[in-house]
Amino acid sequence: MVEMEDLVQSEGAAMEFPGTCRAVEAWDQGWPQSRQEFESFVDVFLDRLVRIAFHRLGSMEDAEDVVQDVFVKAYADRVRLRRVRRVGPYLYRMVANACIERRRGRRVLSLEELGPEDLPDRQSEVQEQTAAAEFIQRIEQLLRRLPERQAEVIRLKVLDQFTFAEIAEIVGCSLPTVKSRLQYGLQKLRRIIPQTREESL
Amino acid sequence: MNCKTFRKRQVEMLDANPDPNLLRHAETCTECARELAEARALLTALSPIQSPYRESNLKERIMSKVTELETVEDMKRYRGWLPRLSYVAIALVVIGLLGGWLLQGRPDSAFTILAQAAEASERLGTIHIVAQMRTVPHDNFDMIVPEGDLVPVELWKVSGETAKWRIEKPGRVAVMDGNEIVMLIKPGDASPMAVKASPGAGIAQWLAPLLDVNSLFQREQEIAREEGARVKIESNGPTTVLTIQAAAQGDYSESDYMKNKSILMSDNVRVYTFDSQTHRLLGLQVYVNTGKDNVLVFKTDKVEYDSQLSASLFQLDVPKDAIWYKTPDEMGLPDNSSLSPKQVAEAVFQAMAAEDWDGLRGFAGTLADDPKLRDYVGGLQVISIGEPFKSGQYPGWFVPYEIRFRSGDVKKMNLAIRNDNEKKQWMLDGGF
Repeated sequence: MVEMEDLVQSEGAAMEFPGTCRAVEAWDQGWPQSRQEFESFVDVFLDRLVRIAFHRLGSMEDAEDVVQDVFVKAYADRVRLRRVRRVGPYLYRMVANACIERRRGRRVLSLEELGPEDLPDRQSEVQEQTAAAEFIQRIEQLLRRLPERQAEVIRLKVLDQFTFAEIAEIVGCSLPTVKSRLQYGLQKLRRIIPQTREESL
Repeated sequence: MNCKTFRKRQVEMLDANPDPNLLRHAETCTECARELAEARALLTALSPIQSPYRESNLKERIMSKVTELETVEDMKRYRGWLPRLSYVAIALVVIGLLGGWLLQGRPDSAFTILAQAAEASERLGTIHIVAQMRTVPHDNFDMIVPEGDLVPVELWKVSGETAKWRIEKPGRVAVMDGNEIVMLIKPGDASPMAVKASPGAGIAQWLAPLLDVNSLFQREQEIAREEGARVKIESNGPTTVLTIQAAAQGDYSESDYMKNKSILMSDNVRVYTFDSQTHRLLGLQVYVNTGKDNVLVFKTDKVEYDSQLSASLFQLDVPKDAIWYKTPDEMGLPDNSSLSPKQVAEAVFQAMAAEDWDGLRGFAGTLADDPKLRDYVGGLQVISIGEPFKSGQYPGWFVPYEIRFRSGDVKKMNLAIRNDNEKKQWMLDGGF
């Protein structure tokens, strides 16, 4: 069993979100209009969008389907969207919305159905892709107990590793609102996660 | 900063570059540091260590979908091409039925396939192509006769510092021995004629690029850009089929005489089959749209790579009785560049009528030395000479004529003359 303090010490550096991809700034060419532009556009955003979708769906297959659909829609609507200047945030919003649509088709587990294994357990976070998927699904089960606006800010901050400023742009609200949503969301999560389970972290 | 303010703004510590005042308070206040540690631990517990990995072909899948989308867009755009039908429905049915079929309105992906084929060809030692072409056995390598028979054509190439190649059909063979090209024309009922040419000479402008995928790529790219060819790609497991539908090249505003006389001067469909793994060319079929039918004018029967080729293939034994062709310029004959196309035709026929072989050399070079030609044309009578015209991609002129031979036979045709050389010297080029 790993104590919380151990985690803080051993993984504190991880909280600096190393390796965060600044894809938001990486594209400043406006909405792609040609096939050539679109291919570069896919190159810039593909990995990031798949991660975002995976963090919301917990299934790589579903994540890839969603991202594929979003990109095809992005190309199909390219004329209509040519006035969009902040392409990155708009695209992230498209993916987040598509994930919400995808999740609506799924059955949500009730509280009674959640067992101890439903808490994130970092020790069991093995290298396998399936384990990563299970981990995301457990996180998602917790986040579903929060108001969606708070859950989405937590996803963007914790899972997708965006800065507050980027989150404000993606969500379309002010910076203070982002901070308050994150703060209230985290407070509620602390209450939701029972003390016994917290110790198991 | 006091504890109340810190707790209110604690969440900022979770973002990049937090306020230094927050950092200082966390260092000095044990209680606030503990709360911050708990918050960080919670976020750490929620954040995945391992990034998911995606399928490597996701981008390809997306671009394929985009291509399907473009197909539908193209079909809408070219609605007039197939009246009375629903084009979007057709596109969807085609895509649905054929699965891997991807119709493209632009040639980008086609260029990729050809570029891969060109790259693959750079690693080849030898290539051997066995094919059939609707052509005249002893006539120009690029000539096609859509209503004619299929004639066997064979091509060989060995790579090296200076590539060697051989192209052959029953009445004509050309060999590049690494230094120069020698072509032997064997009309059957006349003396063979041998021609020497530099490596850059257009001896077989359409056939030769099949042995050199780089030049094939370049040619198709130019055609697609300049002529707006339509491209279709079928990716079907082990093979990739690239279909290029191109309009006839050249100017036919004066006359369509040259239409359908070569593949490039015809409305045609070229179907290249590539190995999906090695990107090598596996086969090619060419269909010409004559206005009535789509006629198969060229097809490969076998494409063989890295087989053992005999060195003798790249040495041409020219018969002793062959006439080596020399142009009037090479023979140092008088300049005739000031003549008009019609005057050239008149001078040629006058020389034949008068059996003035020196005069004929001035236009036909050593061709005038062929005894069978002299016997054929000597003493002819000119019935009429028409107005010169141009057609297709041919760089020279055609002059309509009607003549009567000594035997009494009458011939009506178009004399081909050209002066696309540095000195603008007129030469007899065919049509006889």
